[in-house]
Amino acid sequence: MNFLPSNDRKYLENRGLRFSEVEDGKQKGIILREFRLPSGRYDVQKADILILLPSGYPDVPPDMFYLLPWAKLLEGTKYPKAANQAFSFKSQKWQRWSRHNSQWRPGVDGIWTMLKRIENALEVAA
Amino acid sequence: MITASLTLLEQHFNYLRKNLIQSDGIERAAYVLCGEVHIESEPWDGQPHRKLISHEVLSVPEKDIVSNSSTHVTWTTDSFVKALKLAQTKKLTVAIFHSHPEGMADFSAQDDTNEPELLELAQNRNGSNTQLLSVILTPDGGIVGRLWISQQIYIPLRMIRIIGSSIDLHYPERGRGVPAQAFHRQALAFGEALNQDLSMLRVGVVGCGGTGSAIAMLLPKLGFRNIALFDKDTVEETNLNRLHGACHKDIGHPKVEVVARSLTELGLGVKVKTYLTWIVEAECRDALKSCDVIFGCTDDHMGRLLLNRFAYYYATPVFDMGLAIEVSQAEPPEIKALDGRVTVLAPAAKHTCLLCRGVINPIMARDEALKRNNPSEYERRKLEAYVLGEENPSPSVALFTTSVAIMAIEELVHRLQGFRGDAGAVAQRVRKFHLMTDRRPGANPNPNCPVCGTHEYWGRGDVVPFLNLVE
Repeated sequence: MNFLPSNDRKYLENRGLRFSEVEDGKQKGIILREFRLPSGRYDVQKADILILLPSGYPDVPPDMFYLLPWAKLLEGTKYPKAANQAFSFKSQKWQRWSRHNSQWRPGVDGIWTMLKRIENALEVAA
Repeated sequence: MITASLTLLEQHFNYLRKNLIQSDGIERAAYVLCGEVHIESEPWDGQPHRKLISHEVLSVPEKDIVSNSSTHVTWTTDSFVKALKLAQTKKLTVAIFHSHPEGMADFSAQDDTNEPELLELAQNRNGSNTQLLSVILTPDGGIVGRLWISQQIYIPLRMIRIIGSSIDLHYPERGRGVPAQAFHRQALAFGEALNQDLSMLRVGVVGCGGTGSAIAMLLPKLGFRNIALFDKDTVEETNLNRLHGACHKDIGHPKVEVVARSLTELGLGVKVKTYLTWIVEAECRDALKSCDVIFGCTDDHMGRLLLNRFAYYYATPVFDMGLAIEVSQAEPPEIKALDGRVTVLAPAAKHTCLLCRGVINPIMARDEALKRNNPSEYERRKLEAYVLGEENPSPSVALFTTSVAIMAIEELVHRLQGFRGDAGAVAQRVRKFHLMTDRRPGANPNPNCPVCGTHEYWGRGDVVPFLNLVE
């Protein structure tokens, strides 16, 4: 599998992140392996993060992201807001984080933008 | 037997002409790094085809010139090795351009001796599959080329296209073909060369609805012979008001086959290839890459997104069309807007892409993709109001779908033949049918736009993934 645009691949490799390109039927995405979550906030320290790359990416923006295992906030032992729905991918039930941002600048934004958004979402989740 | 052709960006061609053909009548040379297009089976002749596209011009530094006159140029190979190195990193093919100031529009005995040696150098450095393109420019505007694939074998270029605000074709015997009686009256208006150009061109029609079928039906009448039709849909009763060539009995049959039948029945010698597939699918990619020009008659955002990139990566002009009819709720409805649009996409100045013009809505493209790739998730998100639902069927009238098709074909004919004069090319035209006016909205590229703002991928040809886009 080799569907990741070259600039995204370069970025992930340069950052030294472990990732794999995955497909389920016609849906494509990348999984960031054992991504470290903000410390002291979740009941898991690391999780795989799935980012679906829609057809037409990077001209069209990605939307939402998914965690496995599911992460609960330590405070109140509950799922963060809008992160309690399951999404099925490769016969696994992922925790869907419904985070939306349709702002997307062609030629400027890429997987690095999505990563920032994810890091931010994990940081501010309540 | 493999065939080969070359596409030159107009800006590259103009630069090369200016620099290699000067008033002193001295022979000069330059390198061009070319994007590669690999076609396993070309639709019309079934043969493998190699298309090269000018991507970047490199000068031969003055200090490298050992000697030159009106009949020769000799330079050290240092800059050639540098060009080879660049080509290897970026997976491009090196072309050597040189001039024949005395006008010989063919390769000289000297060229026949030198070029295999340069190929040997190239293959020793970059690997035994390395190819070398050689092109000659003459002062009368002539251009010929050949692709060396081994030291004994070269392939003459069957066509050289120069793509910009015009489309200039160069091929053996241009203007000396046997005139076809059926197109005589058109030759009286535009000359024989246009008829021959049209008979040579490979043209793709993406989307065979109201606009696409109108385009397709006119193509044979103008003398096009090599036509590829792309559409995954079948004829529905509600299409019959505007689908040229379709009868009531065709309901349920693929649009491409219905339209192809009508074209063939004209008896004008057309070779129609049909692709019952969505343009995004890999199975029609060889056919798409084989086209010299494309009419974009699709109304989905994702199809447009693909053609939008394709035009610039493959230096293949795309004539994209759209029709927007907006009406009031009254009965009969009052027309609020009745706009036909033709946008030409090509790697050329002032040819701003559909993303920068705001014609494509990326979010709608994403929703369309989700609906296709994961219908149940799409339905779920519709309930959650995360995606926009489809709109009601939009108004459509054969008069205007046909009119927009004619606007697009006129634009192509002008770009080939020049009947509107030097400033006649229009990158985007919007015809307001209800106001009886034409507008030419200008638009600046977003400077970061990877399609039209930067020139990084113009003429880049094949890359992995295709168009650097997730399928």
